Amino acid sequence: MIVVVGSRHDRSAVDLVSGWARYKAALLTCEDLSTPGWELRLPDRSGSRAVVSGQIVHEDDFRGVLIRRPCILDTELRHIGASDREFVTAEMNAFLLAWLAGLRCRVLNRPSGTSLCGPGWRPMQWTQAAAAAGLEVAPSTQNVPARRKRTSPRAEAPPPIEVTVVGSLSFGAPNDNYADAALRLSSYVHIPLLAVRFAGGGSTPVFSAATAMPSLRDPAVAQATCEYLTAESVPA
Amino acid sequence: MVLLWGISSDGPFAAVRDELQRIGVANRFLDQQTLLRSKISLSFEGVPGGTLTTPDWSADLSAFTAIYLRPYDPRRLAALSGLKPDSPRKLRALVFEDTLTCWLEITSARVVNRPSAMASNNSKPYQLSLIHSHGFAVPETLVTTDPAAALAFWERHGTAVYKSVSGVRSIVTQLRDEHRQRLQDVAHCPTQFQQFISGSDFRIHVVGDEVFGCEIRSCADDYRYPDRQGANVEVSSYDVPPELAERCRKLAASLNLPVAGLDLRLADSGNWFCFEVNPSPGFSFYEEATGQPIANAVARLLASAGE
Repeated sequence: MIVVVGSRHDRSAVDLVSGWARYKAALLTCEDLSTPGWELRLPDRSGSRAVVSGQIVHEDDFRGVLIRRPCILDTELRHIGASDREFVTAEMNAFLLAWLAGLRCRVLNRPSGTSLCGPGWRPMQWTQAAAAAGLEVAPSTQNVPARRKRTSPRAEAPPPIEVTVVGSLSFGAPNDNYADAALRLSSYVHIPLLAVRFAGGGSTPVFSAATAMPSLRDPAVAQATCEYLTAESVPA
Repeated sequence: MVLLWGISSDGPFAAVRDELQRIGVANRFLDQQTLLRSKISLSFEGVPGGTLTTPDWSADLSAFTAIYLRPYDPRRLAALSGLKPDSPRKLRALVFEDTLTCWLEITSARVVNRPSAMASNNSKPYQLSLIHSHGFAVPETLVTTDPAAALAFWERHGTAVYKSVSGVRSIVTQLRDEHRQRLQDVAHCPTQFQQFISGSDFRIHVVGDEVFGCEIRSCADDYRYPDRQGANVEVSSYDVPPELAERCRKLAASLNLPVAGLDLRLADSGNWFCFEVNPSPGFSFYEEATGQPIANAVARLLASAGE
C-alpha cells in the first residue's frame, strides 16, 4: 500500500492516489487523525497502526509514504471546536511528525523536525546548502523592512530551469551539467525527492532555489516516485 | 561579541546577561519587544553577512561570535498586542523574526541553541525516539485515538500518565478514576499516554562539557506545577556519576544542543529513564535553589566561541 499524506482538497494529491490505484494507494487526511484506531507504540513500534482514508491499517502493510503537506493548518480542522483548534493543530502536527519520522518503509521526504516534509528550510538555507554541495549559487539578500524595488526597466531574464530529482533519477535537465548539479544537491542534503531551480540562460547551472515538495504533475516524475516508493529495499 | 535575543525580564536570559557583564564579555541586547523598530539585512555570497539594527545600536552580523536566544512566541508579545493578524506591522515583525532565525541557522557563530535543533522538543514522541536511540531507557508510550486501547494500556501498567504530544499545554497528569469517562475524547485527537515510572526525579543541565545535577523531591504529578495539587517542591544539588554525565553530554551533543536540560528519573529498578530534553531550559529556578553557577557556565561557553 502507498499512503499519500495530504489534504482531500489538494487535487494533485487526490489524483496521485487515483493514478496509483493498483498499489492500493490511499489518502491520509487530517480527518483521519480524528478517527479512532491510531496506535503509535514507543519505543518498540511493533503493533502500531494508522487510520488511512477511514480504515485501520497496520504499519507493516505500508510499502511507501508520500508527504504532500508541510503541516496541518488550524483552518483545516473545522470538525474541532474553535476553542481547542489551536491546541489540536499543534498536537496533530507533533504526532504526525513522530509517526512519519519513525516509519520503517520508504518515506518521501522524511520529516526533520521543522516540517512534515523534508527540512523545511528557508530559501537562504537552501542557498547555503547548495554552496556547501559545490554548486554555483547566485548571491541573495533579504531586508526587513523591504527596500524599494528598482523601477528602471531591466532586460527580461530568461526563464529558470527546473530539474526534479527522484532518487537517482533526474527530470527536466537540459544537459548533464544541470542533472549532475541537481543530483549532487539531493545526495548532499539526503533528500531524495527534490526540485532544484537554476537561473536560466547559461551553460553552467547557477542555483537559485529548491523545494522538497516538487510538483508531480509530470507523469514521468509521478511514475518514478511510485517506483521509488514501492522498491523492495529500504534505503539506509 | 555575544548577541542576546530575548526579553529582559526572563529569568535565565537576565542571569546570562548579568554574568556576561560581570566577566567583561562584550555583548549586545536585542530586545524582542523592539522588533517593530529593528531592522535586518541578511545576505549570502559564499558566507552569510549583513547588518542588524535596533533603536539603540547597529552591528555587522559577522561581529557576533555567539548568540544566546530565549525569544517568546512573537504572536503573544506585548509589543504586538492589539495588532490584527494580517496587519502590515505584524507581518513585518514576523518576517523580521523569520529572517533573524534564518541567520541563526546559517551563521558559523555558536548559537545557543539553533532553532532547528530545538524543534525536536516540539514533538515529545519524536524526541523520545531520539533519546531512546542514544541509549537511555524511556517509558512505554502509546499515542492513540482509540479509547479502548488507552484503557487497555492503563490497565496493563496499573498506573499511567498522560501529557501533550506537542510543547503546548505540556503538563504531566496521572490517570485517575475521574478520567475514565473522558477517555472517549481521545477519538478526536491523538493523545499520549505513558507508563508511570516510580522513582526519583532529577534535572541535569548540560552546558558545553559541564554538567550540573539537581535532585527534585515532590509528590506532584509534574513538579513544575506543584500548585495544581497543593504540593511542595524541594531541589538539591546532586553529584552526577561520571558515566551518567557522559551519557547526558553525548545525548545533548547528538541533538546539537550546546545547552540542554534533561529530565531524568532514577527508577526504583535502578535504571535511568530520560523523559525529555529541554532545549531552552529555565535553569534559573534550579540555580536559585542550589547555587549552582549555571548562568556563569553559559556565559563562559558563549565567550569561548570568540577565543
